[in-house]
This record gives sequence, structure tokens and C-alpha cells, in this order.
Amino acid sequence: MSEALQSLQDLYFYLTNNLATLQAKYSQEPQKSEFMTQYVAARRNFFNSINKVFHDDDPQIVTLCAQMKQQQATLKKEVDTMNDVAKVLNAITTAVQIGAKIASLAG
Amino acid sequence: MIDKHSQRRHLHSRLVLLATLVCVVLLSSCKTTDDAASAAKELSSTSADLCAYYKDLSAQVDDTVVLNEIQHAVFGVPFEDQDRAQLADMKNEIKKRADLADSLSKLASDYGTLAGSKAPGDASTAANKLGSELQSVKALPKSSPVPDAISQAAKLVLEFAQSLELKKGAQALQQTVSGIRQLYDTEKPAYEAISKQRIVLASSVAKQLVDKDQVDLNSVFAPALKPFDFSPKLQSGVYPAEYKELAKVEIGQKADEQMNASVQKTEALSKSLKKVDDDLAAVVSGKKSGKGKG
Repeated sequence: MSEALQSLQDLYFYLTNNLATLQAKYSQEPQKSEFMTQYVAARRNFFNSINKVFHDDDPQIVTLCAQMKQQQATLKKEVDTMNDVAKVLNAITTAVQIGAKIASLAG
Repeated sequence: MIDKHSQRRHLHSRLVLLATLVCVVLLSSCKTTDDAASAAKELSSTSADLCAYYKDLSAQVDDTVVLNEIQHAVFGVPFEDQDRAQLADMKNEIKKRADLADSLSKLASDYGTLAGSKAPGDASTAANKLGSELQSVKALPKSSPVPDAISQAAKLVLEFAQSLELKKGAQALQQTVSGIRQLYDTEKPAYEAISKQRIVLASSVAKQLVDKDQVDLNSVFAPALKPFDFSPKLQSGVYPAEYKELAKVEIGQKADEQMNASVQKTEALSKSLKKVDDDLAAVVSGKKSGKGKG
């Protein structure tokens, strides 16, 4: 599996595995809708890319994958503590946006 | 001057040489036919495995649809018509691959019979069916195109259906396997992703149901009581948090095991396709395959 697809899969699977925790934190609007929108976007980024060709040596993909790795580490740290739910939601949104950029580079 | 005895001896040795040559040619042809029949048998078996693999994958796509609907019910995650349609397209293309593998298995079996007995049997019908299926294969939705080898194989298979020449048949089968193998290897990450997605979704929902006391946890404790012929009788709805954690750890472990098994199964089939492709290539090129199963 290419590194690009792997990074999209990791984000979607991470959010799915932590769905119960996150959903409990975002039970009120507007955060509830915002979280669901990001989760569905992560799923579509992954699913739309599962059979596409990524060029892992493309400098843009290399940069985005590195950013995604960094962002997922930040997200994991935030979710583990859950001190600031708004910060967690921002971290999710940023990761999903990076994912959308990666997905757009698939051949 | 050569006497009659010498002439007879000379004639005799020339006859022996000629007979040896004829035997070598006949044996070689026989060996080639044996190799072809053996490779066809192997191909028939591998294609049947491939067909079963695709059918299982198709069932997993069905499960994924249901799991997304369950996820919607349990967590409120939107699952819209466009998501459903995408999975339906995926399932449709996977079904085509299953049909293709099934037809290839039948053609390989008929080809084996043809190679063994010279009786045409149903090889022509099977080849026509496979040829038209090869022509109808499309890439998985939103993916890279189907390899060229597939359309080349379709042409060769349809030619074989007309002529039923063994050599053409072997070439057609080899080209088909090559194309299918190329398609399979290109799409392998997609197959693995489909399997993993199903398991991750299932485990996420299962853990939530455990947390909500909607799962009977008796089976979690069965290993501790089974050696003494007892059955657990936990009080439903009042499971301590530790019990739930235990159940969730078990779900996680089984999910990991299933994902690993799925990856291994996909990889094993890729290797089988490579082997049968190599064996057929050896038959086509006239090299001794020596790898075919009996």
C-alpha cells in the first residue's frame, strides 16, 4: 500500500476506532455537525482513493504525507488527554484537510 | 568394399537412430501435452480459488454497506445515497471479476480435457464466454484503467474459440492469467482496504455495544469455566467496567487477527497467480515447466 493511501487509511481508522469517545464529546451543536462532517470527509477521502495510483516520490505527496504524520501525532496527543475539545476538533479538521489534498493528487 | 554384413549393420544402426529420433519427438510432444494439461489443471484450481476470493470480497462489500447503516443508527454518522452507490459500483465490478475467474476455471478445465483427449468438449463455448467477459471488465470505480493485457487476452481467447488449436489455447490462457494477475496485483491494496474497513467498522460498533451493555459477555468468561464443565451466568446489564474492558480487548485482538489473515490470503493468491502464470509461460515457450502439479 502506498504511503499516501496508508495515511488516509490511518486517519479514517483512527477516527472510527475513537468514534464513541469523540461522539460523546461532540454531542451538542454546532460541534456535533462539524465533527460528523469531518468524519464523513475522512471516510470519503479514504474510500475515493483506495484504488487510485499515488506517486509516493512526488514532492507534493512527500510533503503532505509528512504533514499528515505530524498532524496525526498531534491529534492522538490531544485525544489522549481530551483537555480541550475545541482544539481536538481543530486538529481533526486540519488532518482531514491535509487528507483531501492528498486524495486530490491521486492518479 | 563393404560386404553385405556391414551394409545390414549400417542399415540397422540408421534404423535405430531414426527410431530413437521418432521416440524423442513423440515423447517430447507427449511431455508438452502433459505439461499443458498439468498447467491447465493448476490454473483451473487457482482460478476457482480466485473466484471464491472475489465472492467473499463481494460479500464483505455487502457487510460494509450494512455496517455503515448500523454505524448511522448507533453513532448518527451520515451514510448517504452517493456512498451507497459507490459501494454498489464496487460490488458490481468485483462480481465481474468473480465471473471472470469462474469462466477461466471452466475454460482451463476444458482445455485440460482437450489437451489430454483431443476431444473438443465445451472448450469453444467456455472460451467464447470468457472472451466476452474479458471484454466487459472495467476498472474498479474511480481507479486506474484495466491493464492492456486483458483486452489482448480477450482477442486470443476468442481466436482459440474458433480454432481450438492447443498452442493458441495455451497462449490465450497464459495471456489471460497475465492480465488477471496484473489487475489483481494493481488492485490488491483496494481489496485489503475493503476487508480492513469492514473489520474496523465492525469492531468500532461492537465496542460501543459492549459499552452500552447491549452484548452478552458470557462467552468472554467461558474459557475459565469450560475446563470444569460450568457455564458463565453473568447478570445482564450490570457488567463491571473491567469486564467490558476485557471484552473490548478481545474484540481488538480478533480484529487484528482477521486483518492479518485477510492480508495473508490476498498475498497467497497473488503468489499462486504468479506461479500459474510462470508455468503457462513455460508451456507456451516450449520450455520444460517441471513445476506443474500432477
